[in-house]
Amino acid sequence: MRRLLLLIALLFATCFGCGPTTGQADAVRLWTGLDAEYPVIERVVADFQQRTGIQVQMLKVPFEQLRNKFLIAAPADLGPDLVIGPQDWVGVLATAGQLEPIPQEALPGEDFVPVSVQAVTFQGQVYSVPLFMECNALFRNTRLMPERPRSIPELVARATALQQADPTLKGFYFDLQEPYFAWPFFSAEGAWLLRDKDGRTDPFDIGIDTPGSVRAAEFLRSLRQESHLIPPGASENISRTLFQEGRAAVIINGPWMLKDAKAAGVPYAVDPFPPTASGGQPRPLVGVQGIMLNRRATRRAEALKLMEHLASVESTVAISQASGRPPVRRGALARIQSDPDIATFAMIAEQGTPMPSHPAVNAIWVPLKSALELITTGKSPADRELRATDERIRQKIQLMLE
Amino acid sequence: MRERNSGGLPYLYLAPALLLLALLSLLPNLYSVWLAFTNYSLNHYSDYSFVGLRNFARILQGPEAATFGRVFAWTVVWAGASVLLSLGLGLFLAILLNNAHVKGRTFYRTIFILPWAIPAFISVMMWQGLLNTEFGAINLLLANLGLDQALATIVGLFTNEPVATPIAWLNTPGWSHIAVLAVNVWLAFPFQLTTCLGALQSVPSDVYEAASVDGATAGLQFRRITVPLLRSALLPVLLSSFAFNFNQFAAIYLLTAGGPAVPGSEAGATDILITYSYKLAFNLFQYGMACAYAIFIFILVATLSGVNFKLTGAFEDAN
Repeated sequence: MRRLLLLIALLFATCFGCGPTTGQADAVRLWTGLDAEYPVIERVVADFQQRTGIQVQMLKVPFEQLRNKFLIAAPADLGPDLVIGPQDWVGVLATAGQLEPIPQEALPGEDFVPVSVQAVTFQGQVYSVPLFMECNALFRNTRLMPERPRSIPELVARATALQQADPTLKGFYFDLQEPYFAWPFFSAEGAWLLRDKDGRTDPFDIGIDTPGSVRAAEFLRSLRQESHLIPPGASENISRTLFQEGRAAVIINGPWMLKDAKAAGVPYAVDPFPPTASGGQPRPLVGVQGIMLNRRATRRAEALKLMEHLASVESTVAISQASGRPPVRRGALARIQSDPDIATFAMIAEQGTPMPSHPAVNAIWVPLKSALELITTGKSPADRELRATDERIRQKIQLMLE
Repeated sequence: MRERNSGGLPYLYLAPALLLLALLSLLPNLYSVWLAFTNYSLNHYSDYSFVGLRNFARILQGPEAATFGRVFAWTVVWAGASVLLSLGLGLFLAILLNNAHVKGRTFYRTIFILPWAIPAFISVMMWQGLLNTEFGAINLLLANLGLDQALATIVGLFTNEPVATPIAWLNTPGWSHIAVLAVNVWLAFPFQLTTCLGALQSVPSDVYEAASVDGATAGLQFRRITVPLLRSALLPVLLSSFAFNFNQFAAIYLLTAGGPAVPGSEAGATDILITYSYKLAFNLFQYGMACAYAIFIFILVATLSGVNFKLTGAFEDAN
């Protein structure tokens, strides 16, 4: 009996005795979901520790789990001081009350490309110090299409001719059902996702059901139904494979593909989007990854120092070279001009559409994707489908914001 | 006889298990039941409050409520067909493998267990590639064998799919139903196979010998000996796999993400309740509504299972 009690006591002791034992209590904690950039960030942080003597504890979390992990851990005081993530987390985390606005002195102001700061601003407050940005561009196989098309109609015409001459090739290929890849054409016709009014986002000012949107959707439908360029079942993965095997002349993709494109040995060029038939300029969505500050950060002063160090010209140039995503500071941009691809992406991003930071944007993607599928496969006319989609999105946003 | 009253000692023995059960299972579930009656959401992340049955009313009366019937019907078909088809295949293979005359049984068993051993996330992604209309290996194989037209014609007889090649496995409602079911059967049959093999091996062989002596044919032996003896072992397994498939999120979400889209509705052709509710509530940060959905699905599964228990008398043998 006594031995049994002892056993149980031991069991309880092991259950409750083990508090958080790992890690130093006085270290600045940083969580990130970045993968290609991780080794560089590790090096930058090590350098920071050596220079300042401030201890930093880094944790790598799978990207798709990081936002929710932070959302659960932060209110329980188990979160990090700093978290690195994209602009669409900003609105969610700030609405949940878990982020501290970045203090003015930590933002070096005009040195940042405007689109990057715009993307991480939510309801008038900046909640993230931008590190790098990303957006789509045209990847062109220069052997299959040596000259850069001057307009989208010209691109479509040449792509169609190429495909007719050799049916094993793809002239112009991307996942046109995915709003992220389709958006450049919507933006060219004046459509918008969520609009700002007096520095604040109005979650019900949605530009999905507009004459411009209908034009853009009709264009995407014609790519599938009339030019027969993109059959159903197209995906980002397939577009990459086709391009790397030299079987696609032009695809839409982002800077994350640069490394593989180079390794594939296909002669390629990164082109900005030329104007559409109506003369509109396609402006792809610009995502911005940055460092956010936990509202309950325990080592605030040291965290701000680390933030400054990570976002410095020196650090962001190194991070960009690791991933191919362009940096966001003028000083850093000046230093990556030697890499024409990153420079092109930087130029396109500067003229792009900042991805909305408002959480309402999460209610747009799924219905818009369904709409694009129905329209481009000819199951539903563009004007009717977009009107119904707009209505559904409004209902969802209404529900979300309650 | 020793006295039976041993005081609190049995509870003490049970304490560690009960404690863990409470911590890991009971409390989280009770917490989510509580959340279902609150307005816990992004805008009420730290200041949520009790709202009564509002979340449940929304599910039944919301703008998407009309879709509920269609999604529910498909979920039942999906779960039922998955279980029956995977059991059919599993049982068939188990009977073959249970035959002592089959050479290399260990080899076959290993091969057949493989789909179970590969993480579903990986194999489902593989299937997505294999089933691609234009570049997928399955369509290429069918075309090379000259079977695609025949298959499309046969399926065209039973569904309202137009007879067209290459087959749009994941892009039309009829074909995507076939595709998700086929992949799920592939994922699930090893489990049924193992269960059937275990059950078959527990049937004493002298029963079959006696039947053979009495002149019973193989078919008669199967109907009169194998099926009755397997029944009690398999019924609980069937019911639990029905419940599992009812909530088989990964197979649907990774393969089609609920698609292809259906006009006028948020739910796609292959959306089941759990993926549909994910689209409706989970990615809108409506945690309270998501919990209400979970309870809703739990009640549905529990009711269906209860009816099944009653109809099949699954536990009568045990009594």
